[in-house]
Order: sequence, then C-alpha cells, then structure tokens
Amino acid sequence: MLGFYREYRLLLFKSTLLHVVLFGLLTISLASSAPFTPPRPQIKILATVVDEGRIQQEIAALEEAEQEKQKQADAMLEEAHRKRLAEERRTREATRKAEADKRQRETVEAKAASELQKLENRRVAEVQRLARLRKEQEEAEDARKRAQADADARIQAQIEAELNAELDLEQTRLNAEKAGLLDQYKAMIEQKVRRNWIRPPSASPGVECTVNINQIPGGEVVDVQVAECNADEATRRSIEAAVHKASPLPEPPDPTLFERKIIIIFRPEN
Amino acid sequence: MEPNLLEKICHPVLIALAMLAVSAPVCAQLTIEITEGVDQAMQVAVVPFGWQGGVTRPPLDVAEIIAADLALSGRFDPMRRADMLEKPEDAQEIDYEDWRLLGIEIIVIGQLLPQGSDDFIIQFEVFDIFKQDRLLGFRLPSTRTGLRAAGHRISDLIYEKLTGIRGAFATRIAYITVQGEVDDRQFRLVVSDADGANENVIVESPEALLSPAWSPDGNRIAYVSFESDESAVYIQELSTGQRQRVSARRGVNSSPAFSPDGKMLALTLSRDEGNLDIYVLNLANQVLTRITRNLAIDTEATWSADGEKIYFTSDRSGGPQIYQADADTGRNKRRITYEGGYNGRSRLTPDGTGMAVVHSDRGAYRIARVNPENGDLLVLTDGQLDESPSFAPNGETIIYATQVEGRGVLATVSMDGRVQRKIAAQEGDVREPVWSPYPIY
Repeated sequence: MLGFYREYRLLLFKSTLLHVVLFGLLTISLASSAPFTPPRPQIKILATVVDEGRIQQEIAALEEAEQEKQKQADAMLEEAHRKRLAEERRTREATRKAEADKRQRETVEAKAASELQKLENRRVAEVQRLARLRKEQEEAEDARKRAQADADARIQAQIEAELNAELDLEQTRLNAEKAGLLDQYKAMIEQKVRRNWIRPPSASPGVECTVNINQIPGGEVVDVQVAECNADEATRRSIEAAVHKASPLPEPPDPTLFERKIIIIFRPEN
Repeated sequence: MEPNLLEKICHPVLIALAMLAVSAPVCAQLTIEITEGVDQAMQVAVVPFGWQGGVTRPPLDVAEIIAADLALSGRFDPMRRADMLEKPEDAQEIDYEDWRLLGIEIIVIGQLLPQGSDDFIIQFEVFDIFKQDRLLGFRLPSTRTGLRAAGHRISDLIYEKLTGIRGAFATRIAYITVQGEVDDRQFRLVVSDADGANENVIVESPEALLSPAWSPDGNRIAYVSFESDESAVYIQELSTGQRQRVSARRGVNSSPAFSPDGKMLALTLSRDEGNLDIYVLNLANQVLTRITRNLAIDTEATWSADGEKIYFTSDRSGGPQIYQADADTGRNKRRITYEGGYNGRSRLTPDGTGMAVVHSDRGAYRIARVNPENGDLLVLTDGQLDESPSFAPNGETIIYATQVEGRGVLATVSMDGRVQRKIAAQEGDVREPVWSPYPIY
C-alpha cells in the first residue's frame, strides 16, 4: 500500500490537487453562481474507489496495462484536465463574462435605474414644474381676476361716484327747487297772516309767541293754539285773530308741500 | 360712461332719496316767522244798544259814542250801522259766521236799562268773532248826565282789552278859544271831553287867556290871564270855579306847568330884568327858585315824569331849542334838540320816554316827536302852523292846534304820525289844547 501510495503519490497528489482545485473551483463557481455549476466531479470520485481495490493484487500484470491505462488515464486526465482547464477557462470566461455581463448589466441596470431615477426626477420635476406653473398660472389668473375685479370695482366706484355726484347735484337742485317752493309757500302764508295781523302797540320787540295751527286741505284753519307766549292778552288775541282772518291759508305751489300743522312764531321787530 | 335715465331712476340712492323726499315732509312741520303786522284799523261792529225804556227815545246813543271814540283813536274802524245785517242785543242773537263774512273781528253789543227817571244801567259785552268768545262784559250804573262819560269809559275798557293800552277817552282837554273881531274879542278857557264834546267854559275874558295847564289830579287848571292888563298866573278849581292868583310879578308871568306831584309850578318870569327866565314856585310857601339866569329867552317849561328835570325852550344858542336842567337847582343844563332851526313848546310823554315839540320844518311849524335821550326827531304832522302839542295820558296820541282856513282847530295825531284826526265842533279860533291826566274814579 505504501508503494502504491509512493507510486501513485504524485498521481494521487495530482488527483487530490485536481480534486481540491476542482472542488475549489466548483465551490467558487457555486458560490459565485449557482446556475453555472458543472455536474462532473461526482464521476471522478467513483473512479478513485475502483482503482484502489485493483492496485493491491495485480500490480505487475496490471503494471503495463496500468501504465497504459495510466497513460490513457493520464491522457484522459490530461484531456480532461485540458477540457477542465478549457472548461475552467470557459467557466472563468463565462463567469468573467457573466460577471462582466452582470457588472455590465448591473452597470446598465444601475445606469438604467439612474436614468430612470433621473427620468423620475425629471418627471417629478416636470410635475412639480407643471404644478408650479399651474399654480403660477392660477395665481396669475387670480391676480388677473383680482386686478380685474379691482379695476371693475374701481370703475364701478367711479361710475357710482359720478352717478352719485350727478344725483347729488340733481337732488340738490330738486331740494333747492323744492326748498324754493317751500320758501315760497311759507312766504305766502307769512304774507297773508302778516297782512291780517293788526299789531297792537304792546307787541313790541322782545315779544315772542308761538302759535300752533291746524289746517285742512284747502287751507281752512280749524284750530289755532297760542303756545309759548310772553305777550299780553291783547297781543295773544290779535295773533289768534290774524290767523283766523288769514283762513283759508294759501295753497302750496306744490301739493306735496302741504302741511296740516303749521307753527308761526310771532317775533315783532321795530 | 353716462348712465341712462332709467338707471338713474332705479338707482338705490335715488330711491332712498325719493323715499326720504316723500317721507320727510310727512313728519315735518312748517315753521313760519312773522316779525311785523299791519298798521291797520281793526274792524269792529258797535251795535246800537238795546233800549228797555219803552216808547221814549233813549237819552243818549251810547254805542255811537263808543264807535266814535274807537274811530278817533285810529286803531279801530267801526262798521257803519247801515251795513249791519242784524243788530243783536244779546249774545244768543250773534251770528258769528255772518259777522265773520262781513270782515268783522270784534262785536260790541249792549243794552241801556232805565232805573227810574234819571238813572240807568249800561250793560255791554264784547265778543271775538273768530273765537266766539266773550272778551268783556260789564254793567255800569250811570246818571243821565253821566251817560256820555260812561260811554267813554266803556270805550276805554274796550280799547285796553284790544290794544293792551289804557284808553284815554274818558279824559278831558282844555283849550283857549278866541272869538270876535280885534276890538271885540272874547277869550275863553274851555274844558271838554277828549272827543271835543261836552264843552264847558271855565274862564271867559275880553283880554287874552293863555297857556292852560292841568294839575296832576285833573282837578285844577293853571292859566295866564291878561284881565288886569298885566299877565298873571291863576290856578282854578274846576269843580268849584274858585281860583287863586299865584304869580303877578312885574313883567311877564307866563307858561305855568305843574310838577308831577302838583306842589310846584314852573313859570316863565321876566321880573325887573325884563328878560325871560324859568323859575319854580313852591305853591305851599310861595318860595321862588330860579332855574335859568341867561340873557337869552328861556320859557315854556315842562317837567320830566319823575319831577327831577325841567325841559324848556331857549334861544341861547341862536334859534329856539329845547334844553334840560335840574328842577331843584337849575344845574346840569343840557341841550336836547339840534335838528332844525326852531324847536319849542316841548311836552313829555307821561312815562317820560318821549317828547313832542313844535318844529320848524321848511318854513312850516309842525309837531315833531323827539327822543329826549339823543335828540332824534320825527315830524308827525303836515300842517303849516301846528302848535301846542300835548300828550294823552296814555302817551298814544298827541293833541295839537292846527290852522284850517285861517282858523285854529284841534287835531290829534298818533305817536307814529300815522293817524291824524281833526276834532270838530269848536267855535272860533282854537288854541293851546292840553290833555288832562287820567280821571280818578
């Protein structure tokens, strides 16, 4: 057995080394990429068990055959090795390629992701920009609307102001006219009562008498009441008589000016 | 942008204004101020008084006396009897609406009720036509001879009721009349009712009678008589006719004027100097106080209402003007009138706030009113030779003498010159009227 061991030491070593290497490769390969694991190493392990039983009894006879076989095996091994190496190379290549591919893919993917991200970013940005734009537009629209509204309001206000000014003017004129007519009406009453007031000598300056008069449409005086009055009896009587004598009172120049109640203040001057 | 009319009409402001315009006058009242009246005579109706004496005629038409008095004052315009549609004798018979339509403001009705042969009761009432209100109602007993005076008294009551001023109808006037030719002239001092009726000759003389003056109680009259060829001042009791010569000093004795208390008599005397000056004679003790001492003529003294001042005419500044001096000493002389070249014969209103003078106005002598405080002057009459103004005791009317066809007659003028009346019925040339004080009832 030791001879065998010595004889086949190198071979064993080589085989073991190969196994280790293959195993390592496999392991690496497996570790690196499961889908790429080759099925071969299990065949080699079976061959080894068979070889060990025969070597003990038939060393000589089999030496030659063994050598031949060894040669063939070496050749096969070499071939296998070569194939393995090629395979390894291919595998490495493949792995490298795969890795490269992977890297490239990864790169591409990353790139794509990056691109995607960029795109996404751009999209988001665009969305944001659009949103901003829309907002700006809306704001602008609002502002425009506000401005428009303001302008409208200003114009409206201006129109109203102008209108009011016109109305004021009109009303002032109407008032003045009405006031004029009212003054005229009052003057008419004043004149008629004055013409009928026989002022007694005691009705001197300082005398002040307020007379409440009720008239009915048509001017007929239905009631005369001397209210506050600091005059003597003669003056009071003269005032009442003046109003009665002035009845019917003049009709107003404008019917709307008619008043049932009239107050006359007698305030004689010199 | 011009809004159209419809917009204007529908404008809320306008609507609001329109509502205001419509609603405002509803709650408003017209207030009118009257500062003057008219100087118009009040339309009164003095209805002939009913007579309850049967078929005999009433001894006096009292209503006529009243109507004439009221007319004389110038403040009333009594309705002519012919225009009266009805002649009510008591309140129930008054148709106010009728009188109102006739423009009457006041109606006076009454009755004369005989009480025996010579006594009567005058019953009268005064109604306001507009208020249909009785203003006065009296029953006055009277003798037959007192009926006229009673009528004047009724006039006074009505006048006071309607004017606020005491009437002066139941007063008298004194005046001088001159009748006859130059060689056969008759001078009379006459006292009559204020309306010129009821003349009574107090003094009669072929020599000049001048300057009658009433005592404040109305019982005596002072006057100047030349019956002894020299001027002398007498005071005569009206009721008895008794008289007293109070001044017959050398030279001129003239222009007597009673002080308001009746105890003093202001006089114009020349005495030995021959120059006229004002003196005050104490009637009780005959003490004479000299008021003026001046080479000019000082005459025609009259008293202020309070008796503190004497006003007189003096030509010390050239033409006659009115001056004032203290009545007790003659000090504090002050010239009152400045307007015109002649202002004389001053008389003061009973309250002392006004003065009447004879004023030379463009060659004519006229009665003017003067403010004694500042000399402001207002000519009241329009005659050519108006003289001797004298105030009624209520200060409302001035009596004076004026010339009509060369003859002096009496006339009255209101204090504002508005109402002038001639007092008719005197014979001869009438001069120097003076109005009595109020009678003392």
